[in-house]
Amino acid sequence: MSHAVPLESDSAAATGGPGGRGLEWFGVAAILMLVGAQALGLLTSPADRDMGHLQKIMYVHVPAAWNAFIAFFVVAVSSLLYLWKGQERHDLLAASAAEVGTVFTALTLALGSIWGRPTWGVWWTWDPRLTSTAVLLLIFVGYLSLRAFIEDADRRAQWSAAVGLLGALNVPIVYMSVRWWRTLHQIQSTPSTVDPEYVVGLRANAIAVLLVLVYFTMKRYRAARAERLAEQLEEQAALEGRGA
Amino acid sequence: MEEQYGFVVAAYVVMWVGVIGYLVRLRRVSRAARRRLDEASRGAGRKA
Repeated sequence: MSHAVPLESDSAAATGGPGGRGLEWFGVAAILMLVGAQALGLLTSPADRDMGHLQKIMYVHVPAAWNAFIAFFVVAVSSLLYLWKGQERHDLLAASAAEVGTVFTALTLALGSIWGRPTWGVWWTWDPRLTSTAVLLLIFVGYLSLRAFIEDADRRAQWSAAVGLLGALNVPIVYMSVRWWRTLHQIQSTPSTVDPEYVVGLRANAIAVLLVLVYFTMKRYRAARAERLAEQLEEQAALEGRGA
Repeated sequence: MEEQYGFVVAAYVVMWVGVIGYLVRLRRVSRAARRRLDEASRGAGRKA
């Protein structure tokens, strides 16, 4: 028995249509901005007194982490809206943001590991920040696996919303871990905690990665909409076939 | 110094592998979804 508000059968919107080209141009602009922001950070920032040129890894590691948090915030809000209103579009947006957030979390860990080796002398350590980030990644890998295994759309959406909300609750723990516990990881890198010479590069890269995040999420959402509409048509055809 | 550059280059390469890798996946998923929707729509059209 379906309780969710189904998607409107607007296949043009789901598969591209006139808005699809606009999204592709937005994606091209986002990628070009990422190239420009990285060039700005690499070419204009001086070597750090302690870390030397390794500081330049900040322009990829920190924006990836911030934007993973933003993606999981979208998961939390969309999951709450789904549980409240029961509209499938909120479930699909949560799933799309969760997938993109998982990619950015994996990148955050990989980039942090590359930064950690020359500065800490180890690729990995069971530090509270690293461990809580790894737990966040595992929760959302679990979220995506859950979605892949449940066939009933309503149950899939409800269970995903619950797991998505629980997973997103881990974000403030990850963010505050460097202040709550004694860690090897430095405190959060923000424009107020880094040297003023690095602020412009950090902001530019954060905005560029945010645009990439928006493009990825919207593109994944369109595909998810098309998948769901196809699923609804297939279910309808199966029911009609049984009735005939 | 050279070792530092190696780690910086490795970080940017990993970032781009992630971005381009996910772009490729998105393209594949979008194409497959569009194909599935077209087939389902054609099937529904035939029945109607």
